[in-house]
Amino acid sequence: MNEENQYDENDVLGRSISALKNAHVPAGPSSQTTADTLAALRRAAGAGVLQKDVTPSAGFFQKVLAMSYLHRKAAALIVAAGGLSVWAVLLAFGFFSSVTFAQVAEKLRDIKSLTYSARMTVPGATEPMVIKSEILGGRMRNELPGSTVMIMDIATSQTLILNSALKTANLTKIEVTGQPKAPIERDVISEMRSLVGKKGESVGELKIGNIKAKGFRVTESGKVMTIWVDPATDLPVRMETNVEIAGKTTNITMDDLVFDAPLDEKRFSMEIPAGYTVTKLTGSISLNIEENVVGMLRIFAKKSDGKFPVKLDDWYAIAQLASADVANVDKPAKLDSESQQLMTYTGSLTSLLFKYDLRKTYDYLPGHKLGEKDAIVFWRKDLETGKLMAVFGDLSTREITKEQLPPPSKDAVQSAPTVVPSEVLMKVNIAPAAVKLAVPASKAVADPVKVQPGN
Amino acid sequence: MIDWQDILSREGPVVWRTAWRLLGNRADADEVFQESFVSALEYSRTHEVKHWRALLQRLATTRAVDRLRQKIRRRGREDALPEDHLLASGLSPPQMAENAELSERFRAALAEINPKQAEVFCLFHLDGWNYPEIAEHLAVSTDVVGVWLHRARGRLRELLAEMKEVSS
Repeated sequence: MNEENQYDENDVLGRSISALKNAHVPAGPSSQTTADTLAALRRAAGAGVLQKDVTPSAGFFQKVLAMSYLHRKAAALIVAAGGLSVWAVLLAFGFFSSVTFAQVAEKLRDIKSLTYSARMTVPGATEPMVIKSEILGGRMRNELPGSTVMIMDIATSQTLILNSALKTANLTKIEVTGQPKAPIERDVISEMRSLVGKKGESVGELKIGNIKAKGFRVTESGKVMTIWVDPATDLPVRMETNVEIAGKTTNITMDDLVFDAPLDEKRFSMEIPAGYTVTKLTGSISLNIEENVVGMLRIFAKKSDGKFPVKLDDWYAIAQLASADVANVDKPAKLDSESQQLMTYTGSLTSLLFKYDLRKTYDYLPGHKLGEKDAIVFWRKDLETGKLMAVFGDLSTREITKEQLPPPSKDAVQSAPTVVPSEVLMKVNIAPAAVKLAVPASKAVADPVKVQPGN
Repeated sequence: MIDWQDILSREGPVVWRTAWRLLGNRADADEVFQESFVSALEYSRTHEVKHWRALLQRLATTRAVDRLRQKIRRRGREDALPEDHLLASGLSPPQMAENAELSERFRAALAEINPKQAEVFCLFHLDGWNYPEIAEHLAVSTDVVGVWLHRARGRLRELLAEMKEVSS
């Protein structure tokens, strides 16, 4: 303390100092501010560590996704959203016609091959993330920055994530339920040709490479996508849209679309190269939106004394519920099966509600608790049938009328707006179901992961 | 390994008070609070930190003065009072109003003077640091601290007098 802090109370400066010093200061910081600051500190501390090295004691996801902060977001977006590139492709087809996931998945199996690059501009990032994608015979391969490759087998619902720098492999098998019956086989390319130009407003021409592409803006359920088409083939060469993930608007541009080019099947192999540490995961996802809402709310309420989250994708709260140690970069946290499922439900909802508009075709009403049987906590207007389905506070689901719709929700409080799913995935390990084993040398296969120059 | 939870718990209230007193509203104080801690983390990567409170208080003062300068320049001097001014307790309404007005003019004046002088002034008069403490943290001599303080006081008096003339 200084002993010389003398000032004349009679002069204006003295009185001003006195006024400021003696002004009432409200209690602070708030617990929210403290929590946000702690999270920011741990992220800042973690980003530095991960760019240097990954310790042998790091948890599974910390190893697999151990890359720069920017790259973690890319991987997490893909993993948490069930493969953003996949969804972008699936939903892009969905923009051309109102089809369900299963129907689109069927269409994908009809395509011989498709390659493209997806550039995602994430808020806060200094440069966009580029993911190179290839589709062949019902399998999809995504090359992420940082020596990570993700191969998805849509038919068997398996995903293999390989990191050639860390020699780690994660094999996930997801059981998919809630698929609509009687998927319709369609010729995707013919359909795209017939629909391009019919739907959407012309936005002029753009030279993309050597192609003078014609642009069309398509609006579906409030989502806007701009499609640039090669007039010689009537096929898209670029598609652009914005998506909301964990409260952030991310721009996605799909470029270099090439259909039916010959691709090497070995690049889609699900075999794990020799010397990789393998972890296996199993889980189930439903394509039924209400099932995911009910499942998510049930587990969340169980872990929160009956309370529901402030929003459907409250990843920060989920991270805290998943493990008390989840925010500690240096201490791998254990994730029980319920927490795994909670994350799966939440990630599924992010994807499944992509085509819906908050407060227009669906809404989530926070502030309720488990057991409030008359309170509508979620409602959705089915895009195909127009039916209004609601989930009530006792987790019952039933059809409702327009008159029963509750007043629209207000913007949810951002619990930790800078936390993204990658923060959750980075800090958890899978136990006790995780099986870690190295592939024996005798079963070695040629390393299918070829990191392209520039990755 | 730095125990940030412990540091936040121990030093958080002081840092919060420093930020709030200069900024007068919770939103800005929250941001400066968080920025100060993150800056302290960055600093600690390359320097040994012996006194976290002093470092954090200084960082909060610097950031709060910067924020004040930006806000005042965007808004102009004669703008609405900070949101929390009515929370002052133990004073009569006229006293509360006078203090609020003095505080607001003082903040505006702080935003106008040289940032280094403003920082030294706040550390001395608002946070109670002495000359040697300020000198050590700013890596200058105590003579320089004295000069900066003298200049800050003079300039602030001029600005406050001008503001009083304008308002009357």
